[in-house]
Amino acid sequence: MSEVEAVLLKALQTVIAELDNPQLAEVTATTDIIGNVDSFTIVDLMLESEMQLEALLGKYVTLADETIFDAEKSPLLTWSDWVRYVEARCDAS
Amino acid sequence: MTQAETRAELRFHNAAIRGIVTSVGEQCVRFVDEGPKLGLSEAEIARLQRALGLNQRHIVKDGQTTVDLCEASARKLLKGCDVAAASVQALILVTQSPDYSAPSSAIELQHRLGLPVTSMAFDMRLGCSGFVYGLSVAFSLIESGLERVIVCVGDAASRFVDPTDHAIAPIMGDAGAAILVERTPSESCFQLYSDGSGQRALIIPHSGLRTTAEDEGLSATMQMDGAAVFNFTLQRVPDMITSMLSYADVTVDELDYVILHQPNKYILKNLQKRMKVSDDKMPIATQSVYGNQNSASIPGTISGFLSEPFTSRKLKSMFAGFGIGLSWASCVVETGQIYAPPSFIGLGD
Repeated sequence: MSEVEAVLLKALQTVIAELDNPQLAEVTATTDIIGNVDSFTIVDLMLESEMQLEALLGKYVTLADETIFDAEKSPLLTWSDWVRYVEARCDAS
Repeated sequence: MTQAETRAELRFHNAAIRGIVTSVGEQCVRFVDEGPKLGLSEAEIARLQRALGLNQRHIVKDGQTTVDLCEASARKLLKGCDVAAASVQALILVTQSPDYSAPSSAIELQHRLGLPVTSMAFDMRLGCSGFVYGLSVAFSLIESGLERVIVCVGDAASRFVDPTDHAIAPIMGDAGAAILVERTPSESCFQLYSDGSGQRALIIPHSGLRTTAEDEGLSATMQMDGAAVFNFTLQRVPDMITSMLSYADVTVDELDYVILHQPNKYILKNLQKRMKVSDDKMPIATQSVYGNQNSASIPGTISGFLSEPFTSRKLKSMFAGFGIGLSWASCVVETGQIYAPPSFIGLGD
């Protein structure tokens, strides 16, 4: 697991810690994220991930873009998509 | 005709803001108090506070309207600028919550303020882009020959949302701002956009003459597709700001302030980081203190957080509004030392 993925997992666990969400209790590469949380949780996940990435990388990486809530193009369709998307944004920033 | 040729761009040389007054609803509602009534758990309340910045909002007392808030602001504006109502030649009211769907509430407001019958008064039905749109029309009137125009912007949004809808009710605040625009040498430029294909991202069904199949079963309160609004904002606003900077031939560093509509903390922080604007140039806390003030959010931010700099020195600022319509607009304006007192709570002094 890469450092970025570890941070993303920690962020996800933080966000869902107090929510009753058994679908995300165990995350695998194919876990559907966007289908299992509401839009507020998505925003919270991005915020938490951005904060933890900033602590890791020493720079702010914006994760939101216009595809986040897109039913077909969202990087949150699966966990592996999300990790790839964030790693690419970290590399590009 | 190319897209560039059809762009709605305006450039002015003889119109400027002389004063801004904002009045907000008298009731302060704390999110920790209203969250449980909306069915939110402590964890959900904490999550929304952290992600969206929901903290408190100001809303009107029973029966008060947008016109009441705007009247209170306009009276203080006229007094503070030492301007006689009889000298105002036009009154523009930008709101989605008029007193009546007909006639224009601006005409009622004109009468209440004692403006002469020889002045023009009309409503503009816009939301979060409304301040920049209203300002552009006021500047156009000044450039066309008028000397003095008042623009009133705002909404009593708490009166058009379902108070039990946790997705929208705790976001909205009520505010009415009045802005005095006068003829004076000053450079400004505007870009204005609209996209009716996004009509249903934010809509109040059953509020006009049309009822569609999509409206069936919906109440006559503001319906928000949060994901669509989020996508629209991130897709359109950065491009608009880049384009505005180019049209105005300025850099972010050359601006004193970048004041955006204030929908929520996350969106604003995201836009701020993308545009690489420093914290001190781009306030993002208005929604956390007053709620989403719709078309009054930009003047509300000036009144709420930037009274001192706008009162004490000459500034060059970018204003950008975006939201329901879909409609979005931005401008770069110069202001001298204007009358800009801190926000007034309620209708009194």
